[in-house]
Order: sequence, then C-alpha cells, then structure tokens
Amino acid sequence: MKTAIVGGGRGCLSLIEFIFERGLVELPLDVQLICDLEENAPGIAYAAERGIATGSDPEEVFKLPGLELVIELTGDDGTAAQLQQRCPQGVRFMDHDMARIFWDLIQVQQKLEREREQTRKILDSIPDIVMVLDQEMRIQTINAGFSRLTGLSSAQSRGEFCYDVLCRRRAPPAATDAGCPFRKVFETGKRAELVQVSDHVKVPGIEQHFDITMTPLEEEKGKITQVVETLHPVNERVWLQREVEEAALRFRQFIDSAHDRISIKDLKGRYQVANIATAKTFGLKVEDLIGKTAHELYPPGSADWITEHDREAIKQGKPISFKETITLESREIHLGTVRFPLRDYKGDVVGVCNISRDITQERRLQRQLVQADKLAAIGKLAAGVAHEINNPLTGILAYAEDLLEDVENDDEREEDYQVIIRETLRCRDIVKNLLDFARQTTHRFEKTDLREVVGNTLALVLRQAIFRDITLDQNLADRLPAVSGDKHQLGQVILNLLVNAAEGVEGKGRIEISTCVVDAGANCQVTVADSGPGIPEDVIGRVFEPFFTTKSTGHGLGLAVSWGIVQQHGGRIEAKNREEGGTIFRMILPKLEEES
Amino acid sequence: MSEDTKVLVVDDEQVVLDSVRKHLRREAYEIRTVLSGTEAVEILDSGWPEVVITDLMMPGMDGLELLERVRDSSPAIPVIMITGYATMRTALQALRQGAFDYIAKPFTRAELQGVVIRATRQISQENEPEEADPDPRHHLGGHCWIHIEADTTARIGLARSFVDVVGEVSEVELPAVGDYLEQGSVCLRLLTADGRSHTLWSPLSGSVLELNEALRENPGLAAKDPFGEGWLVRLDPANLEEELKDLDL
Repeated sequence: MKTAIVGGGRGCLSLIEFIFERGLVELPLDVQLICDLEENAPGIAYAAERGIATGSDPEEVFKLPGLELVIELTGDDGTAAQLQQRCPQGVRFMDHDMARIFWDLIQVQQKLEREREQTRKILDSIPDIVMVLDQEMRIQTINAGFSRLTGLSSAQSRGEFCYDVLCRRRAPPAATDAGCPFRKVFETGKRAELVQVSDHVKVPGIEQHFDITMTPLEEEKGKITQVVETLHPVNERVWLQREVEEAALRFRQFIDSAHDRISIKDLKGRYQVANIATAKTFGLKVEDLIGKTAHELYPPGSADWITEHDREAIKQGKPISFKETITLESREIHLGTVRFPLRDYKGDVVGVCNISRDITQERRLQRQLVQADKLAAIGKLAAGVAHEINNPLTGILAYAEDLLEDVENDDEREEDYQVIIRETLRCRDIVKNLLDFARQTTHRFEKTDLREVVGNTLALVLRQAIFRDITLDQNLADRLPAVSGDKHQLGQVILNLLVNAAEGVEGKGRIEISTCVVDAGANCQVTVADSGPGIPEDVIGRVFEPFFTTKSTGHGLGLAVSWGIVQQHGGRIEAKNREEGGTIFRMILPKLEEES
Repeated sequence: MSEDTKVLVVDDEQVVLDSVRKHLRREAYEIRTVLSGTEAVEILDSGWPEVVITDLMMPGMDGLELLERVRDSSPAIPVIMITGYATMRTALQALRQGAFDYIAKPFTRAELQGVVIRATRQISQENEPEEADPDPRHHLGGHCWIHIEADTTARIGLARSFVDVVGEVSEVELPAVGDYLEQGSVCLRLLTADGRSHTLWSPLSGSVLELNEALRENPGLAAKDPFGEGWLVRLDPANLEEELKDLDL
C-alpha cells in the first residue's frame, strides 16, 4: 500500500523503523514519502538513510502518484483535520490518534508474537518428543525433539498421520488397541500414560523405547479438539532392566544346569532360591519349594541338623563344608555340602547359600572297588591254594583212613583218627566253596522280570523244611520294569537271602519279601526282611565279605557270592538292621534301557 | 574172578600214588604206580593193566593224552581220571573221550573204592547186549540219563551201564530242593547193599527243583526201574544249551 507520512517526529521514526526491521504482516505499508517542516526531525533523518523521499511541504504528499494512504503523525489536530479534508477520494487517511491505537495494537501483537516464540523455544528445549495431534491423528505441531527423532521438519510433518510417521502403519490403530490409547483419550478426555512401550515407536533399524503420555486439549469446556502426545525416551532404563533380567536368567540357567543341589534360604530358613536339582530331590517343582523351610521338606531329624548347619555357617560368616546324609523315602543320600552366608551390598548377612553334591554313587563305587579288589585277590589266591592243597589232603585222608581201619577195638586213637578225617573233609568243603566263589562263571544276560525270578525262587523255597514254621509275607509289585540279568544267578541271590533270613529267625518267625521300583523309576528293588535278632551294628558292614559269618554253620560265602553276582549285574546289595527289629537286605538293579 | 585185578596208577606226586595204594590195599587188586604218562605207556604196552587210574594234570604226557593211548591200544581197559575240583571241566571232557569215570581230589576211601569196583565189575561183565535206554536221552558218560521235559526242566536217572555195575541200591543221599549244582560236581551218593558208596555227578548246572521222594522209602527203585519210577531228581538247568554240548546224545 503506497503510503506517505506527514510528521517526522519520534512516532514516525518508530513506525518506519518497525516497518523496515520487522515488516507489518497485517498491513504491508510501502512508505514512499515523509514530510516534515523540521529538516532534522529524527524520522526525516532515518528516511534519508533508508533512501525514502522526504519533503518539507505536506502538499507534496498529494502529488505522489498512486497514493493510497496518508498517515498524519504531527500530533496536531488542526493539521490532521486539514489533511483529511485535503485527501482526495480513494486515498485513505489515518490521523495521529488512529495511528496511536494502531501502534498499540502492533505492540500487543508483537508481544504475543514474542511470547509464542518463547513458548516454542521452551517446547524445543524439552528433550522429549512433543507433538499435537488433531482428531484424525494428524500432526499439527511438533517440537525440535520430534524433528531430531524423525528427521522431519515442522513443515514436513504437519498434516502427516502420527501412526504413519512413528509406528510405520498405514491405518490408524483400532480403538481397542492397547498399544495406542489415542481414541480413548479423545473420547474420555482423560490423560493416558503408557509406560515403556517397547518396539512401538520405530525409526528404521533402531528399536526405541519411550514412556508415552497423551493429554487431551480442550478448545472450550468439554470440547476436545487436540491431543498432546509426548514421548520420553527410556532406552537406557529398558536396557538396564533387560540387563537385570538377563543377569537373573543367566543365574537361573547356571544353577539349573548344575547337577549339584543349589539353594538360598533367608534368615528364617525359608527357601528363596532353589535349582531344579534341589527340587528334584523332593519330586517338586522349583516354585513349590520357594518359601518352604527344611522342616516342611525333610524328616525331622535331617531338618534339625540342616537348620543347625545353616546357623553354623551364618555364625562363622564363612563357607563351611559338611558331609551330610539325608534319608528321603527310606533312601539314603550322601552329600558333600558347602554352606556359606549370603550378604547384601552393605555386607550384612541376609541369607545362607547351600551347594550340595550327591556323593552317594561315588561312595558306593569306592566301596565296591575296595570290595571287588578284595574279592579278585581272594579268588586268585583261592584257585592257587586249592590246586596245591588237594594232593596233601588226599594223602592225609588216605593215611588217616588207613590208620582208622587198622585200630584195635577200644583203641582210644580211633576217635582221634576220626577227627583227622572229619576235619580233612571240612578242609575239602572249604576249598570247594572257595573255588565255587572264585570261579569265573559266565553270565547269560537276558531281559528279565524280577517278579518271575522271585516267584520261581519262592516256589522252590516254600517246599523246604526250614520254611515250614515261617510266615512269608509277599509284597510284590503288579508290574516291574525289566532288568538285564541272569535269571538263575539272580534266583540264587534271592534264594540265598531267603535262606539266610530263615536261618536268621531260626525257622520260626516272619519274613517279608517285596519288589518295587525305586530311585525315580531308574531301578528295581527286591527286599528280604526278617523278624530275627538282626546283625550286630559293628559287623553289619562286613556281611558281604567272603568267609564272614555270624552263624555257627555255613562258610560265609553265600552273601559274598550274592554280592559278586549283583555287582556283575551293575546293581548293588545292602544290609541294614530295621528299626522295628530284624535285618533287611536290599538288592537294587538298574532298569533295562529299552532300545527304541 | 579168581585173580586180583591189575590196576595201574599214574600221578606225578608220590603222595597220591601212596594214597591210592593205601586205600586199595585190602581189596583184591594188584597195584603198580608210576610218576609219568610215559612210564605208564610202557606198562600199557606190556599188556599188564586191566584198569588205569590217572591224574589229569601232569607234566609231559597228561591224563587226556594217556586216555587217548589207552582208547587206541586197549579200548576195553576202563580209565579212571583223578582230577582236582578246579579242573572239573577237563574231567567232563575226559568222560566224553571215553574215560570210565573220574574222582576228585581229595577223595575218601569209599569214593575211590566205589569207582574202582565199578570199573572192575565192568571188565568182568560178559559182553551180552545191554538193554537200551527206552527213549533218546542225553547221557553223562555211563552215569546217568537226562530227559529234558516240556517245561525245559531236566529229569535225571541212572544209566543202564551204571545200574549194571552198582548192584542193589540201599540208600540214596539226595540233595536238597533249592540247592545249586554245578555241572560235574556231586549230585548225589548211592549206598549199595554190598556196603559200597558211589558218587553220581551232576550232568547239568542248575537248581534242584524236585526230588523223587519215593526213593526215601524205596531206594532200590533207582536201580530196579531207572527209567521210570526210579528217577532221581529234577533240575532247573541254568545253562542248558551250552552244557548239552558236553554230553553224549
């Protein structure tokens, strides 16, 4: 708009400074001429510097071709009136009062503009991503954070769909989408927070995590037109959390892969952590173990010393090793255990850790090795001795029998000769038994049902006179997994145990034979228990040694032979005195691993 | 028999030779003893012995070789093997190769006399055709028959050749039910009316399942009806297939 100004005072200066430096968007003024009587008026001087025409006569302004607006800034009402009258048709006129108002308006607008600028700066200064969305989820406003994230400028993003830009989706999320509460916010007018949406906001190639807040904006009361969405990056928090989870998982995998039993109890003795091996001991799941105490899991005796050992480790404040034996379902488990206090970051003891290694098998093998060595040595010796001793014994028998044949009646030596003969024959029996024992008999291993072996043996045994006054209780499993074995030799073992038991009760009493599956289905067991006086505790460990016997008769080889047979079957045999009296023998054989 | 039976005894240990001599001194035997198979062969070649008793394990020519020589040159001479308990399997092999019987060291007077008297009786027997055993059974030498029953248990009784030389049985010392017998070890003893004792070896390894209880009342049945009422024991064989190979069909 071609404009001429009359009056070059301070007001004029301010106005043209403003126009030149900022421009008036609302009113584009093209100031072409400034008139003032005073040549040195500040507005005139400024205009001269800017190359705007100046004059001293107000009449000049009307000569300006294409003039559209005249602004009067003299501040003189008379001048203003004259100029207004003088103003030709079609040329607008603004006097100094109007200019004042106009100026004030500009000032207000300027202030608003500055404030908006300020707000924008504040918005941009927020490190989070902020955007304002309309009802259709179109982006209206963004902050610098948004641009940093997406690489889109304000102009580029305006009008784009939020889900397209941030979620890489073509269509808006459904109202029911738990991952995007936009609709809900819009409908309810309530602010929504999504804590840590992972994998939701994506920039290609990078997974980012944000806490998202959606705040409804009301244009007027109850009318929501926009939603402010902020994204607070929480990558580090997520990563940290992941690390914590991974550490826990690593720990879990670590302890669960261990064959050893590993557990942590709190100071009240409740299980806080337990690995699978620990839980397996009780046939439980790990989660069923947590919170329980030793007294809820072990028989009272074992629970007492377990608690005592834990206390000891806490008291001493350092790892302590124990050799422990627990009895679970009549199965003895030998453990090598380390117990040590568990401390928190402050160094305070908060629990007790326990790592137990099952050394049952190891102990058994060690004992078997010792026994096997002993037996092998005896076997070799026996064969050698037997061979060498036969000829002298032949001689002794021949000469003694010869002497006996020649004795006169009433010769007191007759009895002596008979003793020599009797004892020589006893030597013969010992040698024979020794060789039976040392003989390397071949085994015929086949798929064997122990119930059948027990049944056959019982059929044999029950006919014998020694069992006539004995009550035989049978407690046989309906089904047993097959074992690999020599039916006859296993039958011999069972026969041996039964005859032993019968002798133990001296022909009168009760014998119980039972078969069952033990060791979590891995092994089959045959037990023979009697109601006899039991075996003295100090020698019970030796009953399987050759020539060991508690009976007046017998050579003490029956159990040693049985032991050898069971060992060659990969099993074990053990003897124990029962609490209720009598002895129990257990033969345990591994289940046959069927080839699939 | 008017003259004493000539018995040659072979063993590499003098004490065994002396023992045999002592055990048999009251009996009607003429005895010569030698310490080696080679010496035995010399006497054998002279045609002197009627019965040979030889140790199985000897340095130089062993018992089995000597047996072979006797079988070749004088098949009518019964050969009794002396064995240790440890070499029972070799003794069984000797039976298969035609030995008359064997005896395990250390032996008693009765045991030795029993087997030698049977050998003597066999050579004095007229060679009339023996009554054949009624159905095809397995045999342990000339000792006993084994019949494998339908349930694969084994019934045992005296063989005809054994019955023919023992005479009347007056007592049978049976094993106990449940006893485990090794093949070739003592199964039972027979006492005969003439006061002799005879050892019957177990033809198979196995547990004793059943005894012929009738023999307790009437032991004579064992020899009178050896293939029927006089059977002895029933075994549950432990290793039938393998052990049958050691027996004559």
